[in-house]
Amino acid sequence: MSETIVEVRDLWHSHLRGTPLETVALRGAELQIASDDLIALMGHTGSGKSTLVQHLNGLLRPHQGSVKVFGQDLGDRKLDARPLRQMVGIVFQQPEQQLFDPTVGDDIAFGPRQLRCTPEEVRRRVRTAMERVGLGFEAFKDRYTFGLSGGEMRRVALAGVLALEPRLLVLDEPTAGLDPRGRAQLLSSLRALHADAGIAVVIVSHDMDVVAELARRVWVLAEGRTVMHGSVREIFARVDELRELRLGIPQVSELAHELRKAGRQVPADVLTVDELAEALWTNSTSRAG
Amino acid sequence: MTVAYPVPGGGGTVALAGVSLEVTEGEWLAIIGHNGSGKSTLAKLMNGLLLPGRGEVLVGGMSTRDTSLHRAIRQVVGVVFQDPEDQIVATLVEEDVAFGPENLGLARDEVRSRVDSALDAVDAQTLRQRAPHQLSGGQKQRVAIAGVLAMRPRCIVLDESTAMLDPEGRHEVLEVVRRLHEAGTTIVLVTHFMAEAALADRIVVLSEGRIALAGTPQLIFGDRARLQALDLDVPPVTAVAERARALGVPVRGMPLTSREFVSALD
Repeated sequence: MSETIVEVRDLWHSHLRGTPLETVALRGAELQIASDDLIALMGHTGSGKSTLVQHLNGLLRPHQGSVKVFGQDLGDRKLDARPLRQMVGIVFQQPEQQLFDPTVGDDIAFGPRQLRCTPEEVRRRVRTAMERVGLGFEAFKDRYTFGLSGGEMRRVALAGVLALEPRLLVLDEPTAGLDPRGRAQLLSSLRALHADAGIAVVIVSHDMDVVAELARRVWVLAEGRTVMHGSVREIFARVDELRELRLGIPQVSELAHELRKAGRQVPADVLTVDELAEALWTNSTSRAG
Repeated sequence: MTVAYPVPGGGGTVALAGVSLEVTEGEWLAIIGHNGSGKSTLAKLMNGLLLPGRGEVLVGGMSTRDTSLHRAIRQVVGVVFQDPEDQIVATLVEEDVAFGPENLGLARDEVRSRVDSALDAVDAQTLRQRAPHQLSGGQKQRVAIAGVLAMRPRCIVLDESTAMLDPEGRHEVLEVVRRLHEAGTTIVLVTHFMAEAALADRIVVLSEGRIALAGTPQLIFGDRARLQALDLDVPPVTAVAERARALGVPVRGMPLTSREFVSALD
């Protein structure tokens, strides 16, 4: 059953507050995440996405407005946010740069060991986390971390966060720099995490093809405010507004938009290759008839 | 310009195995393939950053094996890497762009005119007094390209130079590449984005250190099954065309971009 796990209302935040270099990063941002959500958070560079994300596990506290995560009010200064860091896993950009242990299994085990899990529990968590990202436990646990491919290293980093058993996973540019194969594998891991492990997933991404392929709902930030939210279909049908916000659009949506401008009757909210091809077919048969 | 027979086999893994490739002056070549296919190795061989284990790389007739020629070779072929942070050395944009020509020992006026024209070419005159850390990713990458251009190379190799950029940054960099190509510079673009590869005159697909496919974008993207066997795919626009045609919609030719697609319909 779906419940609200994150509720951000009218959130304001400044960096370097009280100094001459103070910059306002968030000016009334809103965000709601449900326990079964698969969300993309989009916005131009400097729109406040990263600042917003850092509020979700208490790395930052609200300066104004409210942030409630799993029922905890982060505006409460007395709140100990540490337990939230296990419930909300954040995977930063190029997380493979944060790997440090020579063997894959030990790197992933670092978190559970810090939590003082028993050796059996550490092993169970490492095994589960590795399987969830498509790295076979026996095949990979003793592999040399830094001899893996870029896509494999990224999945090791993701497994390290999953071993903390979060209920919400936030990933910043999860596919940037991956090759097409690494990208496809990572997306299918994320889909499975959402569907099978019941983890709510938020991706922060500029790659609109990734957003179109993965996300169900989209939230768009601009200049620190939430300016659009809706289903992925609704959002990508609003091509002109997205362009105005200096965001890209998926290649299929872009083609659909160009076809509409040229007078073809295709729906604005097609997302996939097959949908657009079928719309063209419907269009051509109705003309012929 | 010729790049022939690079076959490095050092370090225990063979990154490239018997690749023969010629890059002709003025062409735009795209190199695609998975991580580990040897793309970056090939890019780094092109100006002697890596040396072939077997075989030879010739740049305008100069062999990269002869280290005394490296200075001359690097004035012919400049390389732009994935992360602009790795390539920017100075604290001001104009000083960064001047770094290369100053090291060539050129006169002040010559350095200034090269910096000017390099910044013009990447549309970054307004950034010249800025500190690199104040720039966006796309701006930084354009500054890195200007640094390479200030060396007046005849060929520019871009090794996944758009991979870490947002859509606007990618668009900026590709626009610069397109203009350089029109002005006669030879372009070698290593990329994971099929829609970027589609802009080239010719595509080389590397797989496991060998050339698996080579030809025009129309030829390469015309054989989807073969690409999929290599775990690659055609650009989405081309995929729509193929799917629509299979359903019986008349789509002419092999559209690679939205604009081509629109005019390929009756």
